[in-house]
Amino acid sequence: MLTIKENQLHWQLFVVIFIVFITGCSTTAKKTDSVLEPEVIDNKLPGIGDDERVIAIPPPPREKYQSSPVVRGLLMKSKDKFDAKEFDAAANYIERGINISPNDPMLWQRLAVIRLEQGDFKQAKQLAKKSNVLVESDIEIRTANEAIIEQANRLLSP
Amino acid sequence: MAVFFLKNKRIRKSPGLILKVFVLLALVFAAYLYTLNVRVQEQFEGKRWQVPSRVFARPLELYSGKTLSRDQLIYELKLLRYTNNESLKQGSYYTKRKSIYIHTRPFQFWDESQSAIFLEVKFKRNKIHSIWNVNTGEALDLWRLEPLFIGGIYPKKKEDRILVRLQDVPDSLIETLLAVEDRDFYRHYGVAPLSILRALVANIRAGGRVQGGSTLTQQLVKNFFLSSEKTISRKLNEALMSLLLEFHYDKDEILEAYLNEIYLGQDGNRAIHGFGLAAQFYFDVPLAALNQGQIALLVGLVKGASYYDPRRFEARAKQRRHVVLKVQEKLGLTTLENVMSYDQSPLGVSKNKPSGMTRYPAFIDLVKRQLQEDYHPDDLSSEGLRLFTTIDPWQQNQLEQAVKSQLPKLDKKTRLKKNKLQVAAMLSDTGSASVRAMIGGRNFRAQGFNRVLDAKRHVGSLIKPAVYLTALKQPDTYNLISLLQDSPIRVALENGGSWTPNNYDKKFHGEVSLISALANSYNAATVRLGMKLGLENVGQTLKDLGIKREVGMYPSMLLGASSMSVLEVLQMYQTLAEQGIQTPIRAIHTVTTADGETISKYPIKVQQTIKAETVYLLLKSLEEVANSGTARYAANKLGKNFKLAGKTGTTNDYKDSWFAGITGDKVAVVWLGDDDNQSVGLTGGSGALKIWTELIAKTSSRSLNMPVPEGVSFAKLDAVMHKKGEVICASDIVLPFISGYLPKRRNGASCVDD
Repeated sequence: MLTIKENQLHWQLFVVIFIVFITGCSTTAKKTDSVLEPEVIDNKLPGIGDDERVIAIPPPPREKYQSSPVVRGLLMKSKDKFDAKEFDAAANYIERGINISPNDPMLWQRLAVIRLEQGDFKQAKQLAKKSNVLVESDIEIRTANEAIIEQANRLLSP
Repeated sequence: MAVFFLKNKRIRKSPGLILKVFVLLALVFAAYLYTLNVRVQEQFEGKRWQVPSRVFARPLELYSGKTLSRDQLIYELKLLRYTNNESLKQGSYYTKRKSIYIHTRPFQFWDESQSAIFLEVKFKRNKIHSIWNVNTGEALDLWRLEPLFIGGIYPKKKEDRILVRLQDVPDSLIETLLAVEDRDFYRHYGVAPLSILRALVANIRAGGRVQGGSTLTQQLVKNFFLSSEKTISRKLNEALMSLLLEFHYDKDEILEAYLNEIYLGQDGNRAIHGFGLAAQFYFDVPLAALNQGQIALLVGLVKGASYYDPRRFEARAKQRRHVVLKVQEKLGLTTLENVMSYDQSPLGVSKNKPSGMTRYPAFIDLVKRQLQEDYHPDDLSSEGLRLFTTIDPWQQNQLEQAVKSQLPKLDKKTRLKKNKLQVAAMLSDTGSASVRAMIGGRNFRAQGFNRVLDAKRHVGSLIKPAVYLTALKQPDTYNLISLLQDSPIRVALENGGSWTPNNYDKKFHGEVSLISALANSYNAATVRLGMKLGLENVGQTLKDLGIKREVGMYPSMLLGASSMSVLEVLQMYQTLAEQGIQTPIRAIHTVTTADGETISKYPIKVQQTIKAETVYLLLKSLEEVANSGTARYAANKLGKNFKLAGKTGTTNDYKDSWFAGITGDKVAVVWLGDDDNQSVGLTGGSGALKIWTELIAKTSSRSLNMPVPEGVSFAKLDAVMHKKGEVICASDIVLPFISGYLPKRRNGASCVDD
């Protein structure tokens, strides 16, 4: 019989995983190289006066990340193993994906979730951070990573 | 002794004494028998054989969109000993128009079992267009070929075997073996005096040895425990131990042990034991695929594997095969016509014997060292483990080709004697930090001194990124255009002396931007910066980059007067490639038992030790090294659109030539030097960079394109101080800065036409 705290932890984990997989299932346009259009957007930045010729470049438009077809296939296989609670097998598929596409933030995020489930909270947090380094402008993936990091911090706290 | 007793009157008159003596002798004999018994059981029950670990390379993954040429796939198939023909046999392939058709082999991977398949791989230019299951017409997402066996970790006795179970051995092999070597195997008790006699008569009649006198049990005992000397005591021990073996174990167990133990050949210093390995060694086929002629040859080798070696003594081997074939004919296992046909045919041994010697000794050495924390060396060399590693045979070949191509030209540039210039290099993937290629010296196949792991050399300017990274960790004080002083500096040393570092070009350049100082590798500016930041802080940055050894906190450390190995430098630059996330370099990922059960995993592990935004800035500087700095050669060769980041390193008196660099998918480090620490006369740019560039041209397919971390903002500048007071004026200098710390305008940094 689960205790109340265990129930809460499982619920929180479920929410995290739900967000992660919803993110993984959605599809939008493929990421393209953005063209920076420099313009003076705010010359009231700290330390820069009116006559400064340092022009801040606006950040690129936010776009959704799309994994390649072969990586999507591995993510699906990993999910099946994850759902069957075969976590090592799920991780094996992700590592194969990383060998093929090392900069895919979805792979690192999925590995973070697997480690979270396996109780390796420290590593889960680091893997989510890794995913965040790669994610650049996809807010949904970043939000899910932040949720994983928060969850891991909570589970690590005494 | 018996005659003595019988002749001695006193003893004859004392039957009690005789009894006592016999009892004493019986006790001594019983004790001796007991020790033999213990020995027999220990060997048989415990580690019966030392089965070396088998080391496998990475499997080649095939999927649509993969950058892979037809030539590369054919190269990989040939390495795996696939034959080029249109047969339907597993292990064959053929080409047709833009496709390669492959009958793959089944393989037990560490994560799943993959069955054999008839595969079509379609190409479009240098990429895989699609892959298909030819039999079902199904398009496949992903398929992998079995991994290449790259070597074994052998026990000290250098025995090698492929263990087989009795039920997997062809019946005709067993019948032939028993007929030739031990007809009464299933009837005797280990020793068969009548068999000895029968064999003697049969051999005299045949004019040659057609039957053995020793039983299989005796032969097994001899192989397991005893020497081959032909003395009475050895023979007696053999007989006693055979009886004991038969007492404890059933016939099938003994036969199975024999099939795996019997000595059947030699490959350099590797001894070939057992029929499983012999089938592969002589015919390059699994045991189950042997034909009658091949079985006859292998059984014939039992009598004398060296004497009848089919590769060295073809005529003798043929004669011996004929003798065994005649026995098979008598047993009804083959016909006279077949015997005659085999007699007319060559022996059929494979030309290229599958070697147990590894082509990658430096890499195997790394694998062993990475495993030694978890495994005793005896376990690695005796338990028959399967080690799945990261090495990529294709990329390894490209590294070797790059070295072979560049080294002769570099040899001419040095003043060293022939073959004195040494090289060490490593190549890894970004992301997983998996080692894909490495060489420990100019003789790639040599075992022994592994320069990648064991040559600790001064790294020179390779260390400078750590100094500049330490600065960039303080965005309120330093950014890429912060002005540094590249002017003479005298550093007071603890011993009372002083140190006055100079620049490579013996000139000082005055006020220069941070990015320029790093791109041009100015020593004076670096030392000034490092002393201001504090040596301990730079030391901490080195730790954050993955350098575990204690680095001496001396001012000269700032210019790389610290000894590191190629592996350590690779780790440092790997952390930069991962944007501040330390990812340990790994050569092995899974260890399984011979049956495929996973016993150890070495997963990808990460830890963020430096902020991504800080590393992003640093890497932008290292991009400048290639664009306009000391590694311009690489950018010129690889093309303007192929971005990379890297650093040259040259030590005092040109004793070491280094280059460490990063692309979108690879990290590679190359070192050149002399083991005796003589000057090689090469800078990082004129030496190591040449090999690095050729390697990357062949193995990297992704330009460096770093994702922009959240904490980075860009600013367009109209001027950047470059060198010697020179100001670069342009309207498109865009540089990254830590968000919230955009630069202030600086007095005097204006363009002429303002």
